[in-house]
Amino acid sequence: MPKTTKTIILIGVGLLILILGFYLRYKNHSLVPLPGESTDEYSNSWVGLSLIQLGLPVGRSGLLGYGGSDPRYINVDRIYSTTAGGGPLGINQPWLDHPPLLPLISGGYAYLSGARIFEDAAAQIIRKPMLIIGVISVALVGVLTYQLVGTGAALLAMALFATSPLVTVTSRMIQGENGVSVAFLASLIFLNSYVTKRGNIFLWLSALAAGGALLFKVSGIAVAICGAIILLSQENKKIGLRYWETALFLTVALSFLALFFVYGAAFDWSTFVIVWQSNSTRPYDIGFGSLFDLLTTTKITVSKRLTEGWPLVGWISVFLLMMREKKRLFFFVVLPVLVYLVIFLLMGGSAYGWYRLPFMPFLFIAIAVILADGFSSADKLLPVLLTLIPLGMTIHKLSEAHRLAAIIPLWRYGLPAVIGWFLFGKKARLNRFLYITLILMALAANIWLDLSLTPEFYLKIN
Amino acid sequence: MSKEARVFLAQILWYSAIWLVAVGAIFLLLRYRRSRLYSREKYEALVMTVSEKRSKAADPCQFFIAGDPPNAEGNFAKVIFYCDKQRRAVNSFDLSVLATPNYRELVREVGRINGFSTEEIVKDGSWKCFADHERISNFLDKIKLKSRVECFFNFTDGEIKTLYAENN
Repeated sequence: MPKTTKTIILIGVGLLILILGFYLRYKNHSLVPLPGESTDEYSNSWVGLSLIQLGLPVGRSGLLGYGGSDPRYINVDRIYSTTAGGGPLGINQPWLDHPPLLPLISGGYAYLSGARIFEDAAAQIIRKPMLIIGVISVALVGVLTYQLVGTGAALLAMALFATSPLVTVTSRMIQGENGVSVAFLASLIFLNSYVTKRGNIFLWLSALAAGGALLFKVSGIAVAICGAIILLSQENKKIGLRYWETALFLTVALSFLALFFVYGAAFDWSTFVIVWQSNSTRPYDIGFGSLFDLLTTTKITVSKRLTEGWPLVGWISVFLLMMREKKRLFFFVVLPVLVYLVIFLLMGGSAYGWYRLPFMPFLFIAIAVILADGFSSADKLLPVLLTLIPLGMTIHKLSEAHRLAAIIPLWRYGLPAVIGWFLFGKKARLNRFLYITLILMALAANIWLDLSLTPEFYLKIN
Repeated sequence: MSKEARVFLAQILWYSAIWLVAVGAIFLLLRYRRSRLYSREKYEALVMTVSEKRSKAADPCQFFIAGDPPNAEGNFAKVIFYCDKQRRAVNSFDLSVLATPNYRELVREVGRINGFSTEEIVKDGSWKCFADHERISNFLDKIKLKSRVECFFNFTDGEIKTLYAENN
């Protein structure tokens, strides 16, 4: 096949994955997660809406630093009959919990869609920009994986990230971490271009993207730290040059954090300082079991879970990549996970599902790398076992929505047969065919579960 | 000074200068917009206006405020509407949101939240309202904490008495 034809086909497949990713995110986007499950989603949009209309950020906060709040019942999406509980929302002005980029995106979109008051900012409107951000994430996962490994792994990473039910559902939420993920990926893509000896412009773009992460949420500092470590670790450059590159990168990236301080000062410096202190001493869950919880549970909010096998396989894949001697994979896949892990643990963020979002792109890239390696390797047992974990879990979840009793014997006898086959079977072509079939089955199960996630089913499963 | 130092230092200084100008402009713009746009009335309208996009309730029993207010610490009331013999709506309400904690404001605020008109409840007399089983004769009376406010539509006094007797 000519190279041009092959390229066109691959780009076509990539586009199809993006369209599929968008469709899966779009379907039921205003219903799942349930509106009001996290009132932060509304608050983020209200902050943007009030900045536009009042010139002052107004939003809901639970922080003690404000010294009280203005309690109001705002029955957007009729959340008081469903998810919000009987208490009013504590409104604060100026709201300075987090930087304003996500509120401006979500609230700005709501304003352009005709929303003029807080109750107008319904989930159906305010979640739409998140669908675009979600699809951009899928594309960026593909670009970074392509840069690091190649086309096959890139398409696989995109397909897994586009269809994972957990990622699909959480990417709809108006939470800063979804923005941090996009900025993290963009920064690393530009940085990878820069360290592979492309122009200075890529260092600038990477630094600007890292700064963008900080305007989504302060935990985006992980992007700046990760970039700085990568720049300082380049072995083929003189130490002096590395220092100057890092200095430029950090100056640009951290200037966005300074911009947040100026933003706070423009409204009320003393409140900003108190809220900042209050944020840093927030009594999150930082129990001894945080790491275990991170690896073994897949949360959406504080209490709602959507159990899925892919993140666990992602963690295993990251550990496998740590043992390899491929430095680029370490710096661009493992290091981001480790740096964000440090920030995540320092913040004690394990209580909230959305604090885990910035891990996801890298976990899925790691999975794709391991599974793509399995395709060319003679020994496929490990990647097969890794595929069977999420496949089985997804089918288990599906069995709660559909009658799948008929296939239980198939799974019961098929599972040992598959493991036995890959343990002893030496027919390379047949093994490869079965291997691809298994991965396609896992993807199909993902899509089926995505399509099954109606509000009623979402409420039922955990 | 090394070559890279000259190149990067110049970039850093240029960026810092542009940043200072841009951030200064943003600071002034934010201050200016706030002083021009903000007023307490606009804030109230933004927060409290009921959306036209939200469908109106057919009657007080179509929607409700579920769950007990977690931070009310005793400063709450239950507001229950009986629209007919079969249908009722139970609302839990945190009284801290009321500027004037009387029964009229309470019923009005529940009506605003759930999207129904309260005029016929507080004015017309077609509804009979009770606070802890005592008839509310003046809706401007102060609300008792933790009280149970019940409003009945098309119920005779005898039916209300029977209902209370059954519930007790």
